[in-house]
Amino acid sequence: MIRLFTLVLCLSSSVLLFSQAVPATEENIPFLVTFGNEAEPSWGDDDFCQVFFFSVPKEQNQPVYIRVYDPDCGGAIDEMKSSFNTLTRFSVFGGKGCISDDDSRSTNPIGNFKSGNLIASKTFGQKSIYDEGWYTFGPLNPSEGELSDVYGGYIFKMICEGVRGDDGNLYRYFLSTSPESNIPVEGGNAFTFEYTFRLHSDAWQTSHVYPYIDEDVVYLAQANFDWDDDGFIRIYSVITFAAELETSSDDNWSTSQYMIKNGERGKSLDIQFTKDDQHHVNNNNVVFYVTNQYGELLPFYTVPIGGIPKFKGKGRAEPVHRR
Amino acid sequence: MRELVILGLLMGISAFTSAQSFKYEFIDESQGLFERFVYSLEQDQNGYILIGTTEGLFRFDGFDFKQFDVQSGLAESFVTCSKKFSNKRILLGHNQGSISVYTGEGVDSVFVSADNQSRIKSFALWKQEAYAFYQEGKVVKLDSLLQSEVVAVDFEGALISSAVEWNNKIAVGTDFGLALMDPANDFELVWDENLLGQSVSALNTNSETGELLVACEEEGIYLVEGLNKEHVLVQVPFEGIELMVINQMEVTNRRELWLATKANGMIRLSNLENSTFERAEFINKGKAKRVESVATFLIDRENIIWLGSQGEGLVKMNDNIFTHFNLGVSKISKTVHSVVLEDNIAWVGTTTGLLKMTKDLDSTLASFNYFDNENKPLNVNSVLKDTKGVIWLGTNSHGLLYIDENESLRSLKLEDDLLNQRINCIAQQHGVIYVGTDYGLYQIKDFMVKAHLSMQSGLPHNVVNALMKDTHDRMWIGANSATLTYIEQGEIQNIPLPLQGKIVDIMSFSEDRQGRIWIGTDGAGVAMIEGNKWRLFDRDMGLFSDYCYLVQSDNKGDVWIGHRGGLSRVKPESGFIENYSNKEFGELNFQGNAAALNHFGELFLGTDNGILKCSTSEEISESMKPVTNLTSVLISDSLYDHNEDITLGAGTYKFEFKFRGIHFRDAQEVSYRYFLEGHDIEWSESSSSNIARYTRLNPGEYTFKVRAYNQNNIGSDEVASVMFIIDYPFWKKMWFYFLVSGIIFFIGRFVIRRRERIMIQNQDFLQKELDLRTHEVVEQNKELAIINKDITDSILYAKNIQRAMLPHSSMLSNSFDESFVFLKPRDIVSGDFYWVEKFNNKILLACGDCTGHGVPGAFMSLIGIVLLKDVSRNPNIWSPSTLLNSLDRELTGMLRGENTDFSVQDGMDISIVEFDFDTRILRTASARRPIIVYQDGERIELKGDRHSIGGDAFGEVKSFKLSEIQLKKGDSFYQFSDGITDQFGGPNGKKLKKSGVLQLLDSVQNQSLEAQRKTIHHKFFQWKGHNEQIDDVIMVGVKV
Repeated sequence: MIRLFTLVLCLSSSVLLFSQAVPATEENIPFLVTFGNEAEPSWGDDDFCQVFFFSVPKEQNQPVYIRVYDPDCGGAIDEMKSSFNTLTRFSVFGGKGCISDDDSRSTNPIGNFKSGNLIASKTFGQKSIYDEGWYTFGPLNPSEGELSDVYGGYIFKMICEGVRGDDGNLYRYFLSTSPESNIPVEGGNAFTFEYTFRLHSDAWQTSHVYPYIDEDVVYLAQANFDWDDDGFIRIYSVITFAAELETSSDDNWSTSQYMIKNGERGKSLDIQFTKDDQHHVNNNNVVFYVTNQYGELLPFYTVPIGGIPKFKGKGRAEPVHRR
Repeated sequence: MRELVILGLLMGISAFTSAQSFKYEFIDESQGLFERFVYSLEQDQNGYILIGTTEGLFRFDGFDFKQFDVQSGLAESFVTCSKKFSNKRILLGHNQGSISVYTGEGVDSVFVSADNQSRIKSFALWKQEAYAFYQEGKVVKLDSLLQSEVVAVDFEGALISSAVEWNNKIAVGTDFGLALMDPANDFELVWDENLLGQSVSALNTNSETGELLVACEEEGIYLVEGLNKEHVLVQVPFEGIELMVINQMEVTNRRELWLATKANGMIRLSNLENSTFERAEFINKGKAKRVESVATFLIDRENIIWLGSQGEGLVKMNDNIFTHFNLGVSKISKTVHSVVLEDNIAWVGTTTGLLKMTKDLDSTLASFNYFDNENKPLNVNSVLKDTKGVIWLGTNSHGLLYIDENESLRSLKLEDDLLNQRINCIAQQHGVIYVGTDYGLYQIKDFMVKAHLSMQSGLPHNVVNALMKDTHDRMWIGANSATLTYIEQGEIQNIPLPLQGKIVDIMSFSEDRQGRIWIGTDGAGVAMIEGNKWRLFDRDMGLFSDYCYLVQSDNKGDVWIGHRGGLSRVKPESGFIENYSNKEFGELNFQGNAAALNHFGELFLGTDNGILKCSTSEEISESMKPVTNLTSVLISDSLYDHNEDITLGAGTYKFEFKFRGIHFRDAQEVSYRYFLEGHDIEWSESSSSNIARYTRLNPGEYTFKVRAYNQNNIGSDEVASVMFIIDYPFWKKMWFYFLVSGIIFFIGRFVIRRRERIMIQNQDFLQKELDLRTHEVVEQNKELAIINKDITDSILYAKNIQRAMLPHSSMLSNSFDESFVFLKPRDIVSGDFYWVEKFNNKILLACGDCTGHGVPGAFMSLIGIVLLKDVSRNPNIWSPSTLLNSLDRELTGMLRGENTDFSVQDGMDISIVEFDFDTRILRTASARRPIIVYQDGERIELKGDRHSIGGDAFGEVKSFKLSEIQLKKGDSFYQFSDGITDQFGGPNGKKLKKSGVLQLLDSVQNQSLEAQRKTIHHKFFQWKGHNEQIDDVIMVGVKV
């Protein structure tokens, strides 16, 4: 109960943060990525599927839109293997089971992960009309989402699947109140339980994810896939400075644990993905998720619950030493 | 350059016009529709609009919403689609795969056998069956009884968007292309090869061509004649249709296609030629409140378009007959005097200049506001584009201008007269420009004034208001006149207006499709001339006003007439006139000659506040009848089902009937009339109230009927009605009557029988009593008979005594030649008597009538005889009168006697005659009795004194007078009692009277006395007949 209360309180406090861009600016992640189901996992996508959730506050009675940037797989942004031959299907789900079904909160697209009601679906190929442009799903009636107090309102689920081909589709989302432009939904948010994203090729860029640590979390278990030894994955919080996590090499999973300290619960952690400037890995895609001590996935909110944690310890926050 | 042209070439200038294509009405929470997302729309047979939402089904009647949800019987709240399955049934598809049916009054869930969890996207009808298409590829068949069955068909993972019956099969749109399902062939599914991989968002069939319209995302709309044939992509006059997601398409019968789009509102494509739509209108364009996402739409029976929006609720779009273009900023600049339309350009003459605009008036390309370096703006009254392409401007104070090839304004001087600087109208005929001014009519050719026509030339007036060249090559001239003027072959013709010589300003002309000329006047309505026939339309005939500044016929043959504040539309064939006013387009005053018609049939009319566009192809169905519905029947505060007859027990009720006339076009103007059959004598007066109340209805059968009327008082075809019966109280029922009658019958019968028994008992008793009494009576009778016999015997004996005391008849017969005595006692003995005494050759004859009759009379007669004998022997008695005096004294003395306490009043009437045989002198005296004497055949009546003998108890002194008469031989006299005169009888039952007796005696005088006696005897009994003899009778007749 305390856990729920804290989450709701934090969600409420984040109302003023309107950014429903996925990835968010604070995350500094260039793109989400989903490969065609004929691709090699070693290219950075373990399951060719990415599930994202969007929460719309109950007070919202105007339609909302989920916009997808560059939904096609072709053109400059996407990752071509030989030639573009990939079909990517984006499907929006709502209704009962959309998030409450356990399979929907899994790292693997198996079972009833497409739970809920299919509201809209569209498969994109290589047509240039959507290249580097936005496609809008909706209007979505907020009440068509699944009402969830835990996750802060009506929940819609966006599943991106690579249904054909072997190319990497790079894209972004935006939860908007307009079909034509990106206007955040007041109090809206977006989150996922497993991130598959593209890292910057620029070694001086750091990407962030912000898992929320509720009161029951004792330790955090992280898993990353196909990191390609591209640098460091570190945890930052109000009392932790650069706790390093195990990282994976090419086509491998790597896991490690992090003990949650007092003062870190009820807040988000800042997990930073810092590239190794010596390694020069380009177009690196990585899969990342975290669980609690029970193996339950913890959500990454694009708008960090409780805000971006800022280290408040003594001493200065030194830049991370690069290897 | 003499003319300084200030040209404002404003290419690309932002339009300062604003189009208002439709009248929108947003219907949302404020009116009871608390769900802003609409997924389905349908109109039921009663005219209600059914709205499918996430919160259930809402039913709208123009005023209120009624919600049907799970509690009402829906299988699920979320209604995703709907389809009319039959007149009464509308299928409702749900988000979780359930199906419900709306039945007109309520909703029911339909059992669906399969475990279908996905959303139903569409229903399609095929023969008598309906098919529900689930988004994720499942199909459920529903038969006419709504029995469901899952259809074995595999869409290979494609997502279904829509389905529609087409060519006896069902076309199914999916995100993987178009498929054709054949229910008649084991649901064989065939994919269209040409559209494979296309995401089909909507389907529709064109009933006229049989083509299937397929809306494909990223492509546009295909016209599909047959599967796998070459499909034609519909061409539309705008770019970007391929980026639109079309949720629904509807082909109307006017070569129009309506599109509901996901993000671009409604689009109307029109003027379809082959596969190209010439025209496209974005219906939500320019609205302050936009309808961007239209999930579905419905064109209802009144041709109102209902939009099911996503986020804006239900939107009602009324007819787009009028579109108002609001020009300029100030009121002055908005006044439009002239409109000229080219293919792509519109020229608009206003009070502040000439505007060159796009054909849709949505942007201004150039404006000409000033001339000749003046600050005074151009006031353009009239614009003409001649056959050479020159634009002519008739101005209010700058004379005639034209635009040269450099788009510069130039002036063409007419004459140096201020009056001709005011140009009212311009027209062209055979290369000659006609310019109507305040100073006559000018003819210009090759930019030179060729002629000037004025009143001197034959014009009715110098001020020319209007010009028009008709198809017969006549130039019509409108002026202030009582005549109509035209120029034909160079000759000015004047024909009188049909206005009884009234002079009017002719303001405008128009020629309709039939070649009839319409003339708008200032104050006399509009006149139409066809050959030599005139027809006048004025306010009395329904025109908005008699002041007609603008007349323009349209492509349909209708004629539009502009007034101040209103517009009239005349249908010449029927004479029907429709008027429009501020209710339709705001406060507008129409300007003379400011009308133009484009090839779409749209009229552009100049007003004092911009331009009003009239889409003349649109018909406002003013005659559309409302649908009448009974909405509730409340009886004594209890709600009853009005779809069935209502039977009420006996009692006193109050009734409240609520009803609603569905007429969305003008719901506020619907009125009602109702009639309670069985109670009301006639239909109620028209009222806008939708409630009727009744109280205290007598028992009986009633039918409540109500009919709704539209604003034109046109009533619905059908009345809504409900029949109800108020039962009679048991005491008014037939069975009760029978029961009561039976009870009364049995009680009566009981009473009668009892009474009969009592009567019988009484009768028996009485019979016994009667027998007893009879016996007693008989016994008494016997005794009485004995007594009577004794009495009778005594009386008979007394009779003998009396007879013995009467003189023997021989005393008379011996004394006279003829005589008779007729004595007829009433009883055995008689109170009448006669007495004869003869002495000294004289004879005394008395005839007496004693008081009473029978025994008392007999006693008195005996006394009389005795006393007569006694008195007659008295020597002092020397005459009949003295005899009577003495008799009276004796009788009185005898009857009074000494006993003063007991006396009788009896006496006698008596007549006494004394006849002297020697002298034949007859002396008489009489007490109350007459003596009749016949002397020489003449009757002489000797009346008696008016005293009786005796009978006077108080000693009255009586004196009887003596009469004397000399008789001759053969004379006769008669004495008689009153028994004969008082006898009743004869034909009338009256007394015989003395006169009768005298007549009788007269009649027998020629007879012998014996014959007289017989006759008198006979006549007496003949007179008496069956009447009782009332008294003793005696008559004595003697002939001397």
